Amino acid sequence: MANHLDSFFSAISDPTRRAVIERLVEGPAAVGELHAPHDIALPTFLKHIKVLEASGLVRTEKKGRVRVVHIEAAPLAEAEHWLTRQREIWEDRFDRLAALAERIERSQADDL
Amino acid sequence: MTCEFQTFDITRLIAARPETVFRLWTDARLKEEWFCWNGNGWTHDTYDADLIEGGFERVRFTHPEVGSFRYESHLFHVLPASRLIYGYTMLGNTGPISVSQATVAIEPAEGGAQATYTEQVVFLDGGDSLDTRLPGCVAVMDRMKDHAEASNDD
Repeated sequence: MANHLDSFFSAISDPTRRAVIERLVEGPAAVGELHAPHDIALPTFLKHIKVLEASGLVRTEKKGRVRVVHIEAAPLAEAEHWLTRQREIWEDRFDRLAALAERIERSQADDL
Repeated sequence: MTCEFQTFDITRLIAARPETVFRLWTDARLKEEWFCWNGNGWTHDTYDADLIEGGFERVRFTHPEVGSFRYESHLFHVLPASRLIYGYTMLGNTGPISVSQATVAIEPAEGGAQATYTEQVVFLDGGDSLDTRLPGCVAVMDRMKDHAEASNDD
């Protein structure tokens, strides 16, 4: 689950990947069509697609000679729950904080 | 473009004195130990902090596939054993992803201390310059939400 949050951060931290996701929300598209509005070399653009694919935000499939990119809804639904994830991160942090505080407290009591 | 502000809080009862809990927020070595998350492939490369009023924190989190993010905070207010207020931003390669204000309230409680963390966050949509970045907010989030909800209807 945390990986989806990571993917979300990854996707929105890069303008090219963000633009790809915005476009894909409207429907699947061929790699060439996705690349057209971007003023970067195709190999560089393909790296962005690979990052999105590796993170599970998109999947690609070969249709004849064209590779079509689809958005994956599940990670996006996860991303929507960013606050839920933040809460989980903070629950974990408070677990560690409490354990550490209680350990320090006990060791200080032992020293007395 | 819409702007989205959200707030969440977490409260925890800790079997330790407020002074001890406070120390975990102001002793950099101790804070690094509980604050930095390592797991799911994430590690933190650096933790640099001076946790006093007017002080700062700088952390760099890295994932082998996702890349690096920087966490930078500034402590506005530090009241021993009872309160800290700080602002922080998460930065990606192109600039801030989110900006938050965080308030930590520590109070004596039955059996120890009660700590409450409240965060008010605003998401930024990124962009190539700070000028264009700050006014534009979470349009992408809204579209993702719409898309997720539409997918659920299928």
